[in-house]
This record gives sequence, C-alpha cells and structure tokens, in this order.
Amino acid sequence: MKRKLIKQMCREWRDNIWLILSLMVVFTVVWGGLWFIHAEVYGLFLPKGFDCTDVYSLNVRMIEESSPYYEEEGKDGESMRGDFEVLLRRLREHPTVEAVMYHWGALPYNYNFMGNNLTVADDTIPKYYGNMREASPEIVDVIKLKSLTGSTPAQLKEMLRRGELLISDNEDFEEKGYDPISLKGRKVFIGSDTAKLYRIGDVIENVRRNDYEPAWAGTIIKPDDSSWGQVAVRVKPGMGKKFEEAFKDNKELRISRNVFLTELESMSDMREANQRSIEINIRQLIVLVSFVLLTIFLGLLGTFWFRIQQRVGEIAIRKICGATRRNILGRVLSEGLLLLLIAAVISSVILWIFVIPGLLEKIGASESSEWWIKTLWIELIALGLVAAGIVLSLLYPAFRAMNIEPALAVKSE
Amino acid sequence: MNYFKQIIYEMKHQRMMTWVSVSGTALSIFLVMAFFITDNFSSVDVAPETSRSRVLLGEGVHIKEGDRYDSSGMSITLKLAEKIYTGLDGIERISFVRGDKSAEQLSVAGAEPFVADGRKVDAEFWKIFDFKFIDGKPFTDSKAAAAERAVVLTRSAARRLFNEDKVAGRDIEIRMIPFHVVGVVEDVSPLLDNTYGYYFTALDKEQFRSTESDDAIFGSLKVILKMKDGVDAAYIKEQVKNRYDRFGAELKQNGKELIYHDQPYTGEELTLFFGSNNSPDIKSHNRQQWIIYALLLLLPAINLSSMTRSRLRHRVSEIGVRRAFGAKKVDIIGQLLGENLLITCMGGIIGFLFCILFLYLASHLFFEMGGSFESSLEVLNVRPDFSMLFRWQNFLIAFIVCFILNIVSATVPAWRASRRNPAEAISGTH
Repeated sequence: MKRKLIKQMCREWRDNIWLILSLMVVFTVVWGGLWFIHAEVYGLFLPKGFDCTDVYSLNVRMIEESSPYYEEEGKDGESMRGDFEVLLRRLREHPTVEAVMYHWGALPYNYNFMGNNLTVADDTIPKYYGNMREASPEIVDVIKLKSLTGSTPAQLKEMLRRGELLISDNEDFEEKGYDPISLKGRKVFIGSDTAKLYRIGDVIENVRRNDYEPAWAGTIIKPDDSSWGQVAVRVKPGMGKKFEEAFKDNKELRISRNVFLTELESMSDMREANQRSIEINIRQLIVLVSFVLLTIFLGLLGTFWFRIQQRVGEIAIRKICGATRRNILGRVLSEGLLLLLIAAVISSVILWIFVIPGLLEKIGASESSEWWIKTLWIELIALGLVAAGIVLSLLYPAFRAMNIEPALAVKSE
Repeated sequence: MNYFKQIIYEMKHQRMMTWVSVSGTALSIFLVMAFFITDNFSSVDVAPETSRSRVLLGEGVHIKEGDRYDSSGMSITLKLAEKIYTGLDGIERISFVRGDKSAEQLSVAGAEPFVADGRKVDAEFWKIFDFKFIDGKPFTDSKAAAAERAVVLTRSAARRLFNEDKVAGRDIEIRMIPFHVVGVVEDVSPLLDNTYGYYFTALDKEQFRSTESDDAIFGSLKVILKMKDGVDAAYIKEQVKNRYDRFGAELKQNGKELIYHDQPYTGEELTLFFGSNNSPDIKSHNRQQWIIYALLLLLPAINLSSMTRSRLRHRVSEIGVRRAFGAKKVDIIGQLLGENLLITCMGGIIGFLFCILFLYLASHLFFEMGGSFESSLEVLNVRPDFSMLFRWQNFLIAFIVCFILNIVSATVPAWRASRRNPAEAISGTH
C-alpha cells in the first residue's frame, strides 16, 4: 500500500514538487507567524502590576497673564499650589470619585522610561535598576499597586507619605542572585546622589508599561510632592459616565483661579491608543497566517479535485478489488499528509540551522532553554495547523472518490 | 466570440475549479492591494496636501559628546532652522511651523469647551498647501496676525463652537485666551500629518527669536519646504547635508559632534517612525514590502499553477485536435493565457472591491495610519477618504498584479500543454 502510494506520487513528481514547495512556504510562514504572535502576546498572561479600569487622566494647566480670566492674586507659586490643592479636594469629595493622585508621567500606557539605579549604602549588593514613577502616595489606590509581602494599601501609602521608596520584583536583579525583598528596610541612594538616602518601604508587583510588553527592568515608586503636571482619578465602579458628565458640567471641578484641569481621557482610551501599534502587528500576523492556510486549502482542494477526477477508473478498480470507503479516504489523506511531512522536514532543517538561532539571539533568548522548547512547541503547533488545513481541503475530493460507483466508472472508462 | 463562449462553458463545466481559482485570486489581490494602498497613503495627493511629492520636512537634530552626552530631538530653534534651510537652491517656498500639534481647550460663551489639536503656522504655510476656505481668508502677515490673535478654524471646529460654518469675524477662546476667527477651512484628514489640525494660529518669528538663547539648538520649530517643479529631493538633501557639515564644524570646536540623519524628509520617510537619533531606512522598508508582495503573490501563483496544470490535462484532446488542424503553439499558449487572465481578472475585481470596502471600514485596525508616535485615539481611528482609495493608479496596479499572477501561474502549464504531440494528445496516450 505504502509502496504503491509512493510510486504513484513519484509518477506525478512535477505537480508534487510544486505542492511541496508551496507547503514549505506555508509551513515556514505559519511557523514564523505563530512564533512572532507568541513573542508579542505572551506578556498578556503575566501579572502587570496595576489596574487602570475606571481610571481617568487629566492635565494641569495655568491661565496665562494675557487671558481676561487671569487673577492677579493667584499668580505666585504658593497660591497656585493652593488652588491646585483646592481642585484635588473638590475631586476627592465628588461622590463618583474613589481616589485622586498627582504625578508627572507615572501612569502606565505610555512609553516613558525613567531609568534609575538604586545603590544600597554601605554594601556591595549590585545596583537595582528600574523605571522610576514619581507620584503622590495615592498612586497605591489609583492604579492599585500590589504588595508582594502582604502589606495593605494603607500601609503602602503610609510608607510613601514617610518618603520611603517602593520597589518591585526585578528579573535582572534576581538573576544576579539577589531577592529584591531582601532590600526591604535598607537605605539606598538614587543615581550618584549619595547625599540623600531613601529607605525601601516595601516590594510590590512590577508595574509594566502596558499589557503586552513584559517587564525588562524593575519599578521604583518615589513619592514626589513637586511634580503636579498631571492628575489621575479613580472613579467608583460603573460611575465613569457620571464623572465625565460632572466634569463637563461643573466648572468647580475644572478650575480654581489660575489653575485648571483639562484633557480628560479615560485610561481605557489611552490603553487602546498606546497598544494600537502592537495589536496591529498581531492582527497582521494573524491575517498572514490565515491567508497562507486559506491559500493552501484552496490550492490542495483544486489540485486533488482534478487528481480524483483523473483517477476515477483506478479508484473504481480498487473498489471492485475490495477497497473500503475508509481505504480510499486514507489513501487520499495520506498523500496530502506525506507531502506535508516532506515539506516540513526540509523546512525544519533549514529553519533550525539558519533561522532560529539568529532569531533567539535577536531577542536575547539564545541561552534560554525555555525559548528553545517554546520554539519547538510552536513548530509542532504549526505542523498541526497546516495538517488540519490539508485534511479539511482533502475531505471534499476524498468524499467524491469514496462515492464513485465502481460499475459506472469502469463502464465509462 | 467563440473564444468567450468556450471560456464561459469551461467555467460552468468546472464550477468547483472556477470557484477555487477566483476566490484564491481575489484573496491574493485583496491583500496585495491592501498593503499597497495603505503604504501609499503617505504620498497620495489629496487636499490640502495636493503636491506631496514636492514637500519636504526639515526637522531633527542629533548631538553627541563622546560617551558622556547623546541627545536628539525633532524640533529645532528658529536660528538653526534658518541657518540650515533658508536660501536653498530649488526651493519654491519655505514655511516655519511649531513642531508639535498641541491639544488645547477651545471654548466660546454658551458652548461646551472641548480639547482639540491645533497648529502654529506662518503665512507661507497657506501658500504651500491648498486649503479650501469656506469663509474668510488666511492671514498674510504672521506678525500682525499673531499680535491680533488671529485663528483659522476647520469646519468641524466652527460647527462645534457655533453650530455653523461661516464664523469669520467671531471671537473664541483658546486655553482661555481670546482669539479672533479670520477664516474657516474644510476639515483635514489626520492622515495628512503636515496639515491636520482643528485650528491654526499665527507664528511670530520675532517672538521666537526673542525667547531663544543664542547657543540653543533644540527648540520647538520645524520647517516645511516646497521644492520647485522637477527638483529632486536628493538634490535638496545634498545641500542640507553641506549645511549640517558646516554647522557641525562650528560645534566641533566645543567638542560636540553633530550627526546628520538624511534631513529634510519626504512624506514616505516620515511614516517610518525612525525617531530623531536614526536615519529613515527606506531601503529596508521597501525590501520588507517587496517580500510581503512576493509572498502574497507567489504562494497563490504556485497553487493556481498546479491547478491550471491539472485542468489542462482534461483538455489535452481538444488541444491535440486544434494543433492537428494547424493551430500554432503560440495561439494555444495565447488562448490559454487569455482564458486564465479572464478568471484572474474576475477574482481581481472581486478582491479589489472588497479591499476598498475593507480599507474604508477597518484599515485603522490592521495598518498603522494617521499620526505619529503616541497619537490620540481620535487620530488613530481615522478613516481614509474615498478619494485616497479610488485612484486610477490603484486600478492600474491591481490590473498589473492580476497580469503578473496570471503570467506566473499559467505560463508554464500553457507552454507544456502546447508542446504535446497532436497525435499522442488525440489518442490519449499522455
């Protein structure tokens, strides 16, 4: 049976070479597509360290002197800060609002990265590197920071109020053999400013920049009283629309003398805008993989349709000689799957020798056995997907072959 | 006529085959055209950017000081902008504009304030671009316009503030400062990065000059250059490079190194989001696009080719008879290619129409379009105008793609079919 199949396939070598070539391309593209999709989306399944549902962002602006609304009494820095505090209080007291923080670029869903080193004073522990987010202590409630040591949000806020830093888990630091939790309570200085020491209050879950990008450094939360260019508001669950309306209608919430809040934007909109580019990449890859699968589906459907038409006589004789419907189905499917196997073996040899090592090196995972195993799994999934496509495309021609009436077919021959 | 009859008969007779071929071709044309059309949004001439191939953007400066200092930014000072970009040969007009679109609060008594993107531009800006004024006119003297706080609104902004279009002469507030509306223009698509905005205020160069320090390099301006007809961007780039070299020599005396990054940029280069410390790599982008086109074309071509080969086996006897009656090989090849082209074109038309519909409805979800890095959701959700999609160039390219697909998928099977010995073909010993 197998020998006959191979003999028959050899007879149609010209068509089969084209099919193998096209299956090689399909297999490679499906494998590559799945690999890149995986590289983009695996971050979605890791903890992201924050929760921005029901959070809004606002910018703080000052009325300029040339405006008719400018108030002379409120022009010095102290008055402005006072007016800003008034706005914060009004927001906090609003029935739709749960928590309010101020900051400068500390929210997720933007590509800010303030890389800073923390050095433990009087110790040789390696430097802790992280993205510094400077904000008022309410950041704990607004983006819901999570302690890794069991501290409550109230305790975390209290630490920030005392001027302590919060740091997060940090893969690099851990790879050097140190646990960030061991830094809890230690005194550190930031960058090269040895004059000012900060106590590490607690260790929190790493606050990533968005849902997709895995953390590639730690996070440092630093309480900051002077950065008040932006405000973030957490509203009570389901109160988003009411808050938006109140902010539009109530001037008191927006303006106090020369200070005003503007550019209200929900974090869900900011999230969508920030991740658009990544999501477009993923969608394009999905389209590409679907396209090649559909193409090979149509290609095999068409080609085998004709093959079956040509082999009507042969199939009829096989049926007369006792072949069951299952035998005929098996024969058609094995032909397609054997072609795929040949294509997959050739492609794999090329991929594993020339492509995969470079690819893993590019993402810095050439020494990660986890990534090598993942890559192998992805290859098997790609093989499974293409095989499923082949089986689907061959089912219709195969059913035609199974339903051939032997007597009629032989008579017409 | 017989020719068409035969094709229609073949298509009816082989319904399955026709369906598979047409849908495979449609899919291929759909994807190739989707990539092609969106890739060309940056160079399509559409109002007010009606001569985009002649417009360049001067921006970006990158300075290094050994390993200690490496800084770059897109916007530059007026002083540097003038030093590098004024007086270039081959330039018809030059406009200085503020580098960033700024989102500000627009308001008017009795209407709800809203935040919208605005631009600060000089008077030359209105001469480079082809804005359609619905009411009023552009400002012609930037200094005077800045002093009297003149603003040009788009139709959407005017409607949102006043519920009508013709509002020249009325007053509004931007960031709580009164401005005087001098004109209203038609809306601009966010896909047009040099002109998109809801309002345009005047840029007074003197004001910038007085606030910039003498040695400052990073500022807040960009330069828009319109080349004379027939001038090549490379010629302008060469002159600008010389100016960078000259300025770089001045900086070198202070131990700083100025790095030139192929300024000024074409619209096509600006879509690559390369940042201010890199040069746009248009070659690599084009290479990537060609790989995508090749993949999207070759894969269906290989499949269509093996289907065509199978299909022609059924017609061996017919081809044999025709050859026996004197048909030349060229005639046979011509007919088979013609038949195939018809099927390809059918698939092409279906694929192209679906592609236009898809791009109009959902292109923002599959292609990076309007705006630059970290644009707002409103800009990112832009839909292309139909005028950007229905262009004769797109139809032509779609037809060329069909033709290539046809040649690649049918030439070899047609050539092989035409080479059969008539006697063997008729007797069926093939």
